[in-house]
Amino acid sequence: MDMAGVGMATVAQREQFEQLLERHRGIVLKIAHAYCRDAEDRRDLAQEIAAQLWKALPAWDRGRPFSTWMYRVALNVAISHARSAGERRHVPLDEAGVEPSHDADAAREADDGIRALYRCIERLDPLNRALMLLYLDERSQREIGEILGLSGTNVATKIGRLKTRIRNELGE
Amino acid sequence: MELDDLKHAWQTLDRRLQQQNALGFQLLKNSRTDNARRGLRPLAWGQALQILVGAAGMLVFAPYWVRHLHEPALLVCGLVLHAYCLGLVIVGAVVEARIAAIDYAAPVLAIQRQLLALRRAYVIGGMIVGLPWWFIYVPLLIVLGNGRMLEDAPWVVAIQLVVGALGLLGTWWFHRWANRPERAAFGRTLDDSAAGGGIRRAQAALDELAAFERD
Repeated sequence: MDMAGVGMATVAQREQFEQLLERHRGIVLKIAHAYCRDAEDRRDLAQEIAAQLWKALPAWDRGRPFSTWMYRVALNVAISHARSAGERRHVPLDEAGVEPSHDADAAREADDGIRALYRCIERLDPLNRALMLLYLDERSQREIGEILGLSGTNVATKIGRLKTRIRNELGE
Repeated sequence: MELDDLKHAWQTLDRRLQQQNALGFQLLKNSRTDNARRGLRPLAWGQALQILVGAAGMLVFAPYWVRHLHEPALLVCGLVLHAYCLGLVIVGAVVEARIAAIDYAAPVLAIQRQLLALRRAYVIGGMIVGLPWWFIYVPLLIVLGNGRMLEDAPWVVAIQLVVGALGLLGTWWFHRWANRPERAAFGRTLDDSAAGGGIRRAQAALDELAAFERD
């Protein structure tokens, strides 16, 4: 964390940022779960994302949605993190979010769904993982393009290919 | 299972994560943050050191060539060394600027391009700093001996310059030889040692990016 930058920020700015972060914390948590393989890594990544968001906050154009800007920073940090973690070790994603103690059929079905989701995510490289995450989050093609730096047409093509790939993998 | 089921699973995961309140973001206390930039810190420090060495060299060699304005050989030697030190400063500053330009709020693909720019600047900078040593030691020895070598043994200087030219030619030939397809692995190892592991990893990520954009 840039302590000098933090020192200059007003209490009001910090409070405003913490409110925004709290409101959109789901984005950070989902990205951390999509990119990290174990709980400790996830905590590190979530902290890293929060720190980079705080650092980059002065550059946020308030006329644009916070969530789009947040996705950019968070995905950039997550992709870098995944690459360096991938070089250190390779272990499968653990199944955080799965609640094995549930007895009810519906909960078991949901757990199976999350396991399948993790298996799908694990097979994708970091960039396609970002695309899939944004697609599953039902972001518009325009917003996905803005986050990734792709044209709308390009996003549509890539999502089409990703869907085919996932369908094939799910069908295996 | 269909894509819609995956979306449903994603929403379930989202709900469950929202219920987990344990994760509090420690904005001010956590010293383990900024890993993204920390990876580039050794490179940044190396470049800072290079800038310092270059600046110190300029402070030493500028007065030297000013003192020898009427002795062409020593003037040229001083100017060459001064120019080399200026090169160290410029190359270091360019790489530092590239590191500082990495903006995590930029679109994902743009960040990757910035890493490519950093790699290029580092590799080209390394060549600018390293290759002149085939020749630069000659004026350095002359300056250190305050021109005595030129007076006592000018033929040594001539031999050193020929050796330098041969060395440069040999380096170029070796690089070509090492990068032939049949020695791809050896060439890669060689490039790694020249470009640095961190930058190579950035290049691997860029190759992935190119594939992502292409496909």
